[in-house]
Amino acid sequence: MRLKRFFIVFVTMLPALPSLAQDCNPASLATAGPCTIQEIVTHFHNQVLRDSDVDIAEIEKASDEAVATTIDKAEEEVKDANRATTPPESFAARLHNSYEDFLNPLAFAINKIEESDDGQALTVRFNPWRSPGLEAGLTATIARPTLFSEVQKNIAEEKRAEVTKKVEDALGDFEDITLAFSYSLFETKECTLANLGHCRGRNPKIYRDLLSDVLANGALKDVFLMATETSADFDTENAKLLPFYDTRLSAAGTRQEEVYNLAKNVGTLGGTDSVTSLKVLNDAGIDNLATLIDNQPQLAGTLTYHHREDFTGPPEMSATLEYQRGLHNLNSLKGDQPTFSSLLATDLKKFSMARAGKVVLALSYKRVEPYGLATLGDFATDVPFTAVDIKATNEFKLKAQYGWETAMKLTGERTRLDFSADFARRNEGGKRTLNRFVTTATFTLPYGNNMSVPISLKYANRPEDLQQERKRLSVHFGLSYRLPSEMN
Amino acid sequence: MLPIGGFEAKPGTKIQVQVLDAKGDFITFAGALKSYGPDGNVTTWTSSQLTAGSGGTATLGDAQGYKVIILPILKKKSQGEMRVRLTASGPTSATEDDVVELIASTPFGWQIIIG
Repeated sequence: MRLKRFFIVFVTMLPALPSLAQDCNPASLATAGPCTIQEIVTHFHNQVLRDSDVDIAEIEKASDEAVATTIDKAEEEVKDANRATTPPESFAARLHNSYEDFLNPLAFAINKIEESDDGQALTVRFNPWRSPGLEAGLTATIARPTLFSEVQKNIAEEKRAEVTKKVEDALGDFEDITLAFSYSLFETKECTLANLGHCRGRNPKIYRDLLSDVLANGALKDVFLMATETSADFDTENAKLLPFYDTRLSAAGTRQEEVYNLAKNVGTLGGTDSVTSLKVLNDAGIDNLATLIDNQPQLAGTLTYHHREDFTGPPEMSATLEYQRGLHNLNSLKGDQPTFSSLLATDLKKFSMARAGKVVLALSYKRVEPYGLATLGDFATDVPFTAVDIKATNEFKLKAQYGWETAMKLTGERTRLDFSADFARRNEGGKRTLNRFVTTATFTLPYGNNMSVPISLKYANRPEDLQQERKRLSVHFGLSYRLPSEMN
Repeated sequence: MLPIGGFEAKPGTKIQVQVLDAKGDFITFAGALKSYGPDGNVTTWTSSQLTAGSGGTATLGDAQGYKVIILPILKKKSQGEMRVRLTASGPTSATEDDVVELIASTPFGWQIIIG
């Protein structure tokens, strides 16, 4: 009786024992057992893309390398388990981990949380808010607080490092926060043939249906159909694999090797067809669609507030408003179908991003609050310290840029004329400390497809703004060469 | 093309293709139903048809087989994710729900064998 009871208890416990979970690694038959057939097919499909010369997202390369080293990493973790080899957590990681429970209920509003590469700042991006004619976003960046540089400079040099560390160790986590609110105004809700010519905004969704119609039914239909061709071999092999797609390789039992090789073959054949598709799209200039959208007129602004406390520095606030428009954009191609469709198809193949001119008008204002610190208190007893007293600063900037290709040609290419003007004025404590105006005219002479000679004429109201020139007017001759990799 | 599954169906089966969600740097997308074998018909769908509640629809004939393909156009060197559904009704019933992660503007889709 006792033995039977023990046996029943033991059998019941078995499912509770932790299973030795294995990660899916589709790279070889030996490690692909836990993978679904879809994962194996996708792996070999993407490998063909990576091995070709087509442009793919960088992140895929990083993630595949991670898969390939999973086993090695697991072995390293086991070896390190008994050694204190873990480096100290960065500020951003510590903050992220400490407040994760607090942030979880806000997941509906948060789009992404990012730690900076150096670990010194944590950025929380909230979900963008969209309504007809307005798109807005909010981010909050929490930086590791440091002692304000103007305060550090006023501490006696021999004690500076020691006092700085003492103060920074005592600072809280939230003494340096920047809130940034960005918005684009007067965006068109949906761009159609009826309102093309007056569409505004760079959100691709505005133009999605208009462009899709050209792809599916218009002048780009032939490109679309060519880009969706598959080889007869792919069709035949994939048909054999259909019953297995949602199952794991291990479920194939004695046929694992056969199914694995079939999945590998289907992935490879599909990848080869995909490379051909990407070349078809590239030849049709489809990548230029993104540039035409980016060149659409847009009015955008940003408001930022940089909150800092006693030892970290004065609070700052800034506001910018910018109008941008590429001279050649989707609005330039307005017309009824099929005119728009034909114009777009022709334009994509001829359009050169490098030649696109832009109009930019930017207005910005920045205010830095007054700041004073008379003493460092207990942090610097008996340490010489000069009181800090900084007046409020207000800075106003205006920038305008305009450029275009002229009708004049040289060596078969058009020349360019660009104008820019920058104005900046700063007041500190009510006294004007900067009044700068610089304007530049640049005439660019092309020499072939990848070389050009820009000739600039620059005027500044202060000679010191002309980079070591002693006069207010300067002329500059330059040489610009575009590397073959930039031509693609 | 990146294959994402499929099934066997009988002639006369009605299919419905839907793009339920598209996250990432998509410029646009479009879909097509292509037959292979002796009958080489093509039906195309725009993004507004694919995202509508009724989806892109078609009725399968008696070709050897069909491919339901979606071509996404992404910004260069960017990635995206699409949640898509293929529903078959009539002589054959089936549903395929898939989340496809994209690293380039490569077509993906299902294969349907007529049997």
